[in-house]
Amino acid sequence: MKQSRARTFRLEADVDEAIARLAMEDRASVSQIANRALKKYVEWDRAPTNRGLISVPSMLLVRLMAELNEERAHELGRWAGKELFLPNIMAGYPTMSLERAEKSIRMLGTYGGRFTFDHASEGGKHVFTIGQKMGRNWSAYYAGALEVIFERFLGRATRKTFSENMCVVEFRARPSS
Amino acid sequence: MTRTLRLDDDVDAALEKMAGERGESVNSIAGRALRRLVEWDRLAENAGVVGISSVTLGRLMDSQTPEQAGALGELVGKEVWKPIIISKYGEVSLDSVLKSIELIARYMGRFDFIYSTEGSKKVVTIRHSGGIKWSRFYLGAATLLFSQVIGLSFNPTTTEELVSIEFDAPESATRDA
Repeated sequence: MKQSRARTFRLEADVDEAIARLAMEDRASVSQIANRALKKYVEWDRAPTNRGLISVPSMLLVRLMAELNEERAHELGRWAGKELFLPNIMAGYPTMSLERAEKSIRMLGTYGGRFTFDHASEGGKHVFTIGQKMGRNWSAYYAGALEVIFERFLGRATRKTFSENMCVVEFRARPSS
Repeated sequence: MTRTLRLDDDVDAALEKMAGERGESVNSIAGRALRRLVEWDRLAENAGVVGISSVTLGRLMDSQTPEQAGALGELVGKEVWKPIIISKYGEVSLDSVLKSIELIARYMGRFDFIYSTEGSKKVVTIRHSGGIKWSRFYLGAATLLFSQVIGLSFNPTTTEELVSIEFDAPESATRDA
């Protein structure tokens, strides 16, 4: 069970009232609502994965990606994997690790809001799944990004499958890893 | 006003750490995070706002012509910004549009918003670093909101770094600059 402690804050009245209203709407306590918001702020605000990110309506991303064909979307994903994802995952560390890659991707999914992420492993086989609702080209994009991360920097050959709403990348770990 | 919250230990410790690193009080960091929650996060979530690398977004916009970028801006104005304004302020008026642009500029991180007024003459300026296609995009959104929805006639100026619209409106129609 999670440990907790009470802390008293001085809040502006409009913020305090608005949080109380949100808590009522969500049928949650003010502390639960505040905890979630503060956790997001302290985890995501400082995360290397968050650097250079801006907010846009998902609808705009759907429209823009629809202008590309699947191959170009996949290539754009490979480029983003190499130039954006990897430098952020590696930030502050000399080597790449599966755990760090997973943590960064999961955080981007949780707080970036574009996809959900799942990792399953059994008998040395790893399966990474990204679920998203922005169309097949975005699945191709994520497949490209994950391929680069796992192939080039973890040195493992991958197999990818993607559809309208999902991208699955599989690889088998080396016996020593 | 004061509010006592029960925080998870890891959240509380992370807040303390962040406060120490930044030379701020825990209270001021929490106040900012909670203000963001009530002013923006919930609204953005409902409107399908997601995070993406500004570089990737720039690459996607590269595939558009300036005319297509303008049409996309109009579409986003209609399908995303207008509902956001209605959800937040209950109506689309000059005042609510201006307040919303200010909010979007503060939390989405894509542009600076400058509003100046001299008597009945008003100037809205959006300054950004995205190039002419993004200027056309913002002009498209502004055309939808200021012209098609509110019914104002305006003179636009568009450069690589800014879009500016100038219009006449009675003093009573706007908030203080």
